[in-house]
Amino acid sequence: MRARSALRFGIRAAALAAAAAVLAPVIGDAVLVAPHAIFMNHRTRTGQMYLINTGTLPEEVSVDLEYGYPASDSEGGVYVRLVDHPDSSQPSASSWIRAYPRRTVVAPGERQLVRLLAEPPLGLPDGEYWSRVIVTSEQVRPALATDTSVRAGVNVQIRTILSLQYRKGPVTTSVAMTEFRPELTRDSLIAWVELERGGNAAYLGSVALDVRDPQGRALGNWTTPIAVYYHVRRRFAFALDSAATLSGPYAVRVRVSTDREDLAASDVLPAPPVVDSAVVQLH
Amino acid sequence: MRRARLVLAGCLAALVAAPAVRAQTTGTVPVTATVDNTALVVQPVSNLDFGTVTRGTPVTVNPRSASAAYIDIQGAKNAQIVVTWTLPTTLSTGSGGVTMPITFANNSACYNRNSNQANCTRYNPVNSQTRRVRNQNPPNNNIGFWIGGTVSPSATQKPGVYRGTITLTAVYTGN
Repeated sequence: MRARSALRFGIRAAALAAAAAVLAPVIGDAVLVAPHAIFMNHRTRTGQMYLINTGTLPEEVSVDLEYGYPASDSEGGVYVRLVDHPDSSQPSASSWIRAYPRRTVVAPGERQLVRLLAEPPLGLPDGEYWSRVIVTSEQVRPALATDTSVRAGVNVQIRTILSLQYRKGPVTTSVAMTEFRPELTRDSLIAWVELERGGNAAYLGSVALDVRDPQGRALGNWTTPIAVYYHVRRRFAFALDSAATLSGPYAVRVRVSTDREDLAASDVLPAPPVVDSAVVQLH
Repeated sequence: MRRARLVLAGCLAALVAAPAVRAQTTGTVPVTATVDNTALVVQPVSNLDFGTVTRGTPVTVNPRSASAAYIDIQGAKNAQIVVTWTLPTTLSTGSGGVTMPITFANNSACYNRNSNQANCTRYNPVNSQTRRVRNQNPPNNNIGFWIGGTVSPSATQKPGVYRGTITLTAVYTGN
């Protein structure tokens, strides 16, 4: 299994390198970071990611780890809460996972493998531990000759922040829906969905919503990824595919499941889907 | 730019094609329409350039102008990204050098999911933006961000190249 995973990553790296070589002449400045979500386990205690400079100038790159997780704000939006100094009750892996190298210069067209090595504390309980990987990149710019003029410009430095999950022993996840409150207007659906995570690992899945009119015709269906690390209260807003013209009642259904298109199935923990529905009138 | 995105899409497709390559014996890379879901590319296409400025005359770059900094973000279809700018207050000729003030207005930044700068939605760069890349196949699985600003050289500003750094933080939320 480990050999197969290594082979898969190696092939991907080769594909990346080949693609990067093609990219070099046409893309200005970019560091491609792959994968966008990193999963490690206690058996191998290692992970890796690739940085590929697809630009035409060297890029100074640094890799740092900091504890963080997505959370929701009062308006139902999402932000990532980064915590500099998490207390011992937080499942932080940031203090015992190291990136090698932490700082490097990636030449144009080159790829850099970054290894992530875990040295967890003795007696670490079973469960899932989290960190965010922060990749900071900036071009190495040659000094400009100056004359008697005054010139001004600003470089752009990029910080890309990815998720990292470290799993030890049996890990499970589930989600409970504590609120489902849809509102329907002629043109749009707004739905508040509150989710509470169970188990000892983050819930990575998706939320699917659909609306049917009084005659059973579908007015729209939408699927969006969701990550529940502790608790979220999300506000989803979608434009209807067809306008709601009847006064009602309309049936709105929500299904929360571990379906994820953007993650390998082996990295997504299974959990039973949660379904709810509501009948609403047109606002 | 479109060519660049197309080639980048090829790179991203190659990522997903990789497992299929393993099953091939001829060594050819199969063409695939599968959307890459394993990489995130935050690409500064251009820096913010005020050019040569006149002493005593402030210069403003509109985020919808060609001199604005442009960052293109490509990722998994519909991936949610939180974008935050860290902004300088001065530009400098170097460490310990002479400085020049730079400011940002409440409409100095903008974004557009079609990377259409002329129609980008303007906002205050002090505020974070939680947005999704387009739910489209490569090369259209992207979102563009631009930023302008104002520099104010003094009437006695010393000659030189004044530079600073804006940091764009793109957080993949997993949502």
